[in-house]
Amino acid sequence: MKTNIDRRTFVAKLNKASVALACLGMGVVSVSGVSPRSGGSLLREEKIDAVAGELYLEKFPEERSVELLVKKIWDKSLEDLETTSQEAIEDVLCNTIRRDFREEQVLSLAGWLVSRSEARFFAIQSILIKGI
Amino acid sequence: MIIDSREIEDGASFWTDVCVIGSGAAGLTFAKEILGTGREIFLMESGGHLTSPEADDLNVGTLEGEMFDYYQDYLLKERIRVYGGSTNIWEGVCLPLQEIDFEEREWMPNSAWPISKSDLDPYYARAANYLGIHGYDKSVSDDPSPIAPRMLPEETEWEGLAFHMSNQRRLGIQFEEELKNAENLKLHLHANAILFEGNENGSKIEAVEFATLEGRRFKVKANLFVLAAGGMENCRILLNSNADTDQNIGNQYDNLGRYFMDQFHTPGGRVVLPNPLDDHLSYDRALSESHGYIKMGALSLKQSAQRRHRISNQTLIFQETSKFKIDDERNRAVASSMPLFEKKSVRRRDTKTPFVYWFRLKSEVGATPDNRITLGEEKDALGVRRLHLCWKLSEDDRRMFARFTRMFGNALGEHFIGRLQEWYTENGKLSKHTKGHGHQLGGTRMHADPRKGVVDANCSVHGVTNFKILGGSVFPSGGNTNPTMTIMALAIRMADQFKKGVS
Ligand SMILES: Cc1cc2nc3c(=O)[nH]c(=O)nc-3n(C[C@H](O)[C@H](O)[C@H](O)COP(=O)(O)OP(=O)(O)OC[C@H]3O[C@@H](n4cnc5c(N)ncnc54)[C@H](O)[C@@H]3O)c2cc1C
Repeated sequence: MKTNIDRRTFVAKLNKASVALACLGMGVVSVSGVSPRSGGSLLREEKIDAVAGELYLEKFPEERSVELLVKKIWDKSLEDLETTSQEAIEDVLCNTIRRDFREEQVLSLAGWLVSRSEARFFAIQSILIKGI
Repeated sequence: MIIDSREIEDGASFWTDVCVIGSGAAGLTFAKEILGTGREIFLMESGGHLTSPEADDLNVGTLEGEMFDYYQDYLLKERIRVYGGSTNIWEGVCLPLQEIDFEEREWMPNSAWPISKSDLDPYYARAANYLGIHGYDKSVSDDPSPIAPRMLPEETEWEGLAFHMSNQRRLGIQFEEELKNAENLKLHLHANAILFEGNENGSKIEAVEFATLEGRRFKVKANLFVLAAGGMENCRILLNSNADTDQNIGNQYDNLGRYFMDQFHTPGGRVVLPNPLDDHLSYDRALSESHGYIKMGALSLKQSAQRRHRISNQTLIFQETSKFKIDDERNRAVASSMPLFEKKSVRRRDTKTPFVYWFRLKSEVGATPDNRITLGEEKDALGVRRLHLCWKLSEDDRRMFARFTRMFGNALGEHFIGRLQEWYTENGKLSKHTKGHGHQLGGTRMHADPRKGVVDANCSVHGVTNFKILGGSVFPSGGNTNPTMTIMALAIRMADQFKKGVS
């Protein structure tokens, strides 16, 4: 990741967003690989982190950049996101996903219908995991 | 009285007031309804009380179209030759057609009925009585079932449909005592209608010829003939009547056998949900607990949304997942990492497993003239040419099935209800689990204009004074609901018209 922001904080924030947004014990894509997955996964499959993100990046290799993906989801630079409140990060992500479905900005990952922003969010996590 | 037609003398001839051919839901209901008129009724049935391989063989024919790639048994499994007809094997799922199904919809080819839902409403209520459906009439207060199954919020374009489950499914058994004891009805078993004989100008049916598998033949003359031999046999008998003769009964404008439809029935996909489905949305549970008042829930697009999106009438029916395992590695991984988003609400459940259901698509298809029943070359044991059925999905049909699933997936996502995996896609090959529904529709379609249909709005064959047809074959379009209740409503309506004429 070519940025000077405090990656640990950033990762924690994304983790928090993903935990906050994932509901009811559905599998949570873990960024750090540590705790957020307390809810477990759909089939209790252990090595599933960010597979969805990888699938997305296979389809859109030109988006393999956290900076670009952050910009596309939150319309902010990484630095700006770093100073954005947790709540605002979650709000924007939620609303963008909602809008994606409404406007049919969707795609199919292994047949699952996901919002483009949601898939990008997976992709960020996938890149970060690899980078850690 | 019940008569075994195998014992009728070869070459015999009979006269009766009304000759009804076929003792399925349509023929039985009509015959029972007119018992009180005192008119003599012959109810002629090809089968007996039990199925037999010889009778089944009469249903053998040939199939054409991708739909049948995995379903070569369609002609044998989706109907039956026995007293009571297909109500011996049906599931008893009932619902009237919706208003939109009767309308002309530009995007559904040849879709208009010459009658509307309100014309049938009183008859639906009477059909519900026969079918043992409690609570059909909303004023009945003892209906314990909470209805309107809901998965998506009211303000969306989606609504729950509540199918009734009949608890009087075996209509043959239900009606038999009364029919047997009626002085003016003779139920002929093992009597196969093979030929309609018209008068010289084809304006009247003079007689119908029957054959038994033992090789005997006899004729029945009547004031009124009602053909109710099932969606496909209705066409075949008439086509056979016209083949190699100068007759053209019901076929002046080459509509006979055309516009065949069944409902498209395929596994459409899978959903992951944070909460279990309401019992009424689970097909398996509704079916196993059906006591006449349990309803089977399904989801559908509101009629206004269908009009807005110019899409066919379709249903999603949810089932437990066990039949389709999540076995593919990548597939499983994506499903596993699928977060369900719910704004500001981190409601974690103790259980680590979300709920996965697969769903079937039950979809209306367009009525097109090339989907048709014709006669094959080979003949059956009675010397009647076997049936050939061509049923192909159009590009528009496929596009609308895929669109419907996609719209549902979008709605689940937008409202943070769950996520959907699409199995049916527009370009994909049909699943090997794709089926027809045993809902054979079209072939003697209803239309006010004789150039566009075989029967008129009262199910009378155009241009023939004493000949009516009942069954799915008269449907100009199919809707997304099971047809039997409508078939029975049409039979009761026809009976009322007959009674009026008699009085
Ligand atoms: C497996 C299955 C499940 C179904 N489930 C449902 C459901 O849940 N809900 C629903 O609404 N519908 C369902 N259906 C469809 C339903 O069974 C039919 O719509 C309905 O029974 C049709 O009634 P019918 O009287 O028009 O035809 P049929 O029931 O086919 O009756 C026609 C009768 O005519 C007789 N016959 C045929 N040829 C001749 C001849 N040449 N001479 C004399 N008699 C003849 C046949 O033996 C038969 O008895 C199902 C069908 C199947 C096969």
